[in-house]
Amino acid sequence: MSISGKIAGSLVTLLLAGAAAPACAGPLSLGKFRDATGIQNLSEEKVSALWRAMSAMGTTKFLGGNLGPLRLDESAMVAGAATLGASEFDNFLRTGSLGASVSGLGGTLSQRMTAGAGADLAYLVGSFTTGGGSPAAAAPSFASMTAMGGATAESGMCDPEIGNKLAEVGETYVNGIVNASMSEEMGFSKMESLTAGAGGKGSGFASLSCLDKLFQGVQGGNLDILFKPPSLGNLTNMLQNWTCGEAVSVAQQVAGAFGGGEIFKTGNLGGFFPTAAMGEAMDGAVLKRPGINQGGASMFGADFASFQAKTESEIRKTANLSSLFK
Amino acid sequence: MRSLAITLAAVLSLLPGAVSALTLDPSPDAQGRSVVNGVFGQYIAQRVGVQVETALVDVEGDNVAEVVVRFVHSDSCRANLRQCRTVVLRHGDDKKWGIVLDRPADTIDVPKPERSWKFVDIKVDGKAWTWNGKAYAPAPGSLGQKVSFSPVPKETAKALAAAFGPGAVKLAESPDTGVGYEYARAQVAEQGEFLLVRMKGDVACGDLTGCPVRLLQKDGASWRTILDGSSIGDPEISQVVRGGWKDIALGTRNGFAVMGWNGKSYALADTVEATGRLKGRD
Repeated sequence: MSISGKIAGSLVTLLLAGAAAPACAGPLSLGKFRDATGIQNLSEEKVSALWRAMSAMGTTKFLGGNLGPLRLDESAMVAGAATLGASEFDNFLRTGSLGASVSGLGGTLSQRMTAGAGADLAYLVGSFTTGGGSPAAAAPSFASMTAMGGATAESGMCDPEIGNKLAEVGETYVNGIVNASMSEEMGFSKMESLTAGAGGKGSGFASLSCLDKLFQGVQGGNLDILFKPPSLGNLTNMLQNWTCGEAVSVAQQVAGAFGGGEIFKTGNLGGFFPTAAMGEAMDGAVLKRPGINQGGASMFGADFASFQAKTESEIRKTANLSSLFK
Repeated sequence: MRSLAITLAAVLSLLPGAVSALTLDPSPDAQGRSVVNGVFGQYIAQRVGVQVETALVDVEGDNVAEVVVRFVHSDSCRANLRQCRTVVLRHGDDKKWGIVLDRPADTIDVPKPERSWKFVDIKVDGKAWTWNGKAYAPAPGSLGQKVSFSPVPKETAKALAAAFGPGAVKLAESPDTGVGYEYARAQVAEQGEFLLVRMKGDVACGDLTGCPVRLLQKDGASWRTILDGSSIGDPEISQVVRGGWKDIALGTRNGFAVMGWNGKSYALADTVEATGRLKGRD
């Protein structure tokens, strides 16, 4: 079959399924995954067990979410769970903080997850999310290798042309739904009149402002829209349920998460935490000098610094419309 | 009598394996100083007025000296300049000087090797550090008393799982996950009742962090989490006390993370680890 034939076939499959489909899969993916992440003792049984555990815990709801520049896919999540343990990885995604006290853990975790993202482990976990990883990441990853066209189906990797096309079509489909939800004719604005009170002021859930809902979702793990874009099925439901004007921005933000997603980059939300370097004689390593009450970011590095659990005041400050949706 | 003691000490110091506090020489002309100047040139230059003390030792009995160096400077020391950065440099197989021990220390004791090519244990402030093939790392049991765990009955596990997060609760309710719990009584303070709980199982433990550990304090009818961490190997209860609460050492790949009481809960107080950065590919 020619490349164009493959693309056409894949597109038909995609459109029929209404969701992204895996382009290829196989045991070679796990071998490449081990090499890329450095997690050499990871067996097929353990990958399956980790995924079952994450499914049981509900961790898989974060699939497709953005963690800084990294889009979470199955393989990135397996890498994270293998590194921290399944329940601690679940806690990390829910709270944004790392409980363990290992020097350099944040850096290693991000390196492993980024490097492992994009590997098709569908034959072990049952699904494959396209677009995993970060094309902009410095570390070589399955995603970047695919984008560079250096991998082939024969080597267990996805055909780059097909992979790119699938991602492109998926993104277009999502943007189409977002646009429809925001439109004058059929969008969420029509739903506003159905809610109690102007601008969403009413009782119960509807009485909360959109931003309150957003951050309650982030903290409570129910509406984690800021953390991850919802699934395609949930997207329209969520947009229809917004009850105030900020939903425009929310929708744009959701759309952004599928595209550039600049406002989801962790750099916008956090900063560097100084560490005490002990000099060049450390062979390039930085000796951490933690102390009582010192935050995890100073131990774990800047990689996930912005995902440290935030205080309520910090959340409210971040939630300021003028700064967030500018 | 005093002369006998001095003679005995002198004899003992000559015996293989004898331990004596190392005397470091602050002279800029000391042997090994040129090595230190080469390796730590920039570090020394950045710390005006730093006192550099050196000594030569032979940690593996190959008749090739290792260099012990200690930097006395406000930026290199803690505990009122008592514990200062102390480093052991070894000329490795790659013909380069590398750091094999790096630790803020008050005293360092390097015994004479019992035989050739057998690395001696080094005592840093009285704690044993052993050779791990690449560098010196704190020996298990060197920071405190190891905790002995007992298995938690399955029916109790569901209640304990709450201390490990909502995911762990769901996991405890799922069949055949292979996750279990262990507990130990840990009297970390004179008053109160404490339980150290560890989550076990292939999927529960991370290859870099070990198994999740929580310290629970009885608070009326319920238990409150006062330590949240992970440990490779068994945690150790230290005899070091902060505000009436004993330190707890959690195992890491390269040594220990020492958790200390901060008035409300346990937080990271120190890391006691072998040199070398945590790498994803090692």
